Amino acid sequence: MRKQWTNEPFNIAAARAETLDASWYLDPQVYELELERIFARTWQAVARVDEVAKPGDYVATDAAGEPIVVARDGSGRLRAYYNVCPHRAGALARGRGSRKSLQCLYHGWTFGLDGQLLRAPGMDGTEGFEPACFRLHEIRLETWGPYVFVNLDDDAPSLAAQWGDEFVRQTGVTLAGWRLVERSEYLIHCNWKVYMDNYAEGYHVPFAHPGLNREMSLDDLYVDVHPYFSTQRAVVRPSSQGNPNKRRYRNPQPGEQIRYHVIFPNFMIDDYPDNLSVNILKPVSVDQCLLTFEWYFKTDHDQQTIESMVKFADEVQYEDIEICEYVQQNLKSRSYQRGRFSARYEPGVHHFQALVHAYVNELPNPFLTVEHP
Amino acid sequence: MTDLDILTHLGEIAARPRPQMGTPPLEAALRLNNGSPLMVFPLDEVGDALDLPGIVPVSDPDFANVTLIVHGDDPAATTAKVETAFEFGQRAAIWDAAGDLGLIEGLLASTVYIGNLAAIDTDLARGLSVVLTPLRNGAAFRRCIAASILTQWVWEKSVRAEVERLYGTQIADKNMPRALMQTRARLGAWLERLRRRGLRCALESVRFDSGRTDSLRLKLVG
Repeated sequence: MRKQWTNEPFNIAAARAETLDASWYLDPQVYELELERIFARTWQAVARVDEVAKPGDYVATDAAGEPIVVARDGSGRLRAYYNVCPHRAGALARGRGSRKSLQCLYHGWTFGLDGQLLRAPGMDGTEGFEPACFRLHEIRLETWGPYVFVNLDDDAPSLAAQWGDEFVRQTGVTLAGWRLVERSEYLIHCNWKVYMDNYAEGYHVPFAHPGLNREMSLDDLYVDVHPYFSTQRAVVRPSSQGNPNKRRYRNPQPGEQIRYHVIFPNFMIDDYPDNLSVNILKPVSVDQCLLTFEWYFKTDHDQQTIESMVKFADEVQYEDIEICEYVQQNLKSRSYQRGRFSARYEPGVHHFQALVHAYVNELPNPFLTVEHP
Repeated sequence: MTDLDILTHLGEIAARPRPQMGTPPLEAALRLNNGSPLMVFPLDEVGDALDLPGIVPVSDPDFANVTLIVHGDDPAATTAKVETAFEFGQRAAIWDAAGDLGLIEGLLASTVYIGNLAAIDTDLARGLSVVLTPLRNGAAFRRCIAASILTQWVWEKSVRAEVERLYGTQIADKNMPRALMQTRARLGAWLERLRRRGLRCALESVRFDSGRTDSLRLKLVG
């Protein structure tokens, strides 16, 4: 059943709000608006700093559906450009590697890693051609932890000002001192927001994640909401509850927490007592998204612990994918239009959906301008 | 516009008897190609591996239909050879008997447009059969190359172990939906990366014949 996009006002109070209409998850028009108004206007993780560690290193990537190349120039400065030649829109880079310049794969125009046009063969007779006017189009770039972020919006606040500083202040998470040990990607057959909604609440844990439910209790689940991110936190269950042999955390310290952070729109951090994993979700189409999962451990962990934790997280991951793919199908049902939030457990979903609604409608961030109830 | 009748040529190919299922790929390809041999320039030492029906090794790439690159253990070296072959206007086929997943990562990291490869396979005869047949271009070719990479590298060297760790080699009926979803999610993510390098197709379905992990079947579309 085809559903017309219904774009109604969104209530800023989770206890009174209805969820986004199902059409938001199904309509290609909404998807296009989200690329333009959310993904092109927020900080997007597009590469890892270690992929462009040395001068000359580059990586071709994308954000908000735009081809991008990230490169470290001769002075060691990281830069990002649209991966589009200003001559006739050829690609400047493919894959990743190390070069002193970027050469268009179409007609060979060559650019310095500082974006300056160095050589444009065959342009001698072209009247009024000014090489200086054909610099590569540079994109704003910042790093946070091991990630390179870009923002296609020249007017957006800096990453640090938007959420970086506040996130570190509130959570203490910096990703410094952690070692990347594993990386997986998953193509999920659902709208990107279905996955984000699911991630932003632990309400489903007792029903969908039996393994995870042994580690944390809904009774101790709290949600903190900030303008650009939310955090769910739960105390690790004491091992006396349930079979300790089936537990990941057999001897939790008093007050030890599991936390899940959602940084709008698509950057998530699973924050376990002994490891972190970063989830980056990239929309592929209105009903598909690509999830990159990266696991980080402190350097002193043994391989067995790492493998068991990755296995644990991987199982949780597939449980979530299954749910999300079902939800995507069911959102098409003529029986469903929109739902309500659990005021106790789903403020994170409400926060996420409120931001989606605000960005798509080009409204101010409601969590900046209104006292949150 | 000339009056060249391309349908005559296409019809001629279409009219050839279809090889029976189970025919060795190279034999089938030769039949579809009217017995015309394939000139192969091996860029690397291959011993007598090219002693195959319908395959003629040549020592000059200019007289070859395809340059054969044998992957050793250095993905960067192999991809550099492919890039050089492309620069010289040669068609390039890769043979990687070991199915090194690092090779696929290497190709994705390089400038190689994977859709321009003539073939990539862990089995030399099967790979050369892809080069030899009229399959050479178009959607069927892209699906063939994508299926080759997904099954022989990605599945065999990465995803299979993940599935078997959870469900064993004989997947129980009750676990089958989850195993299929898991396989589709992981292979789909790789295909998404391959799509951007010229293999523009999508994974329509995944199945395991008789529920066994050694009988993965993919259906690609597009």
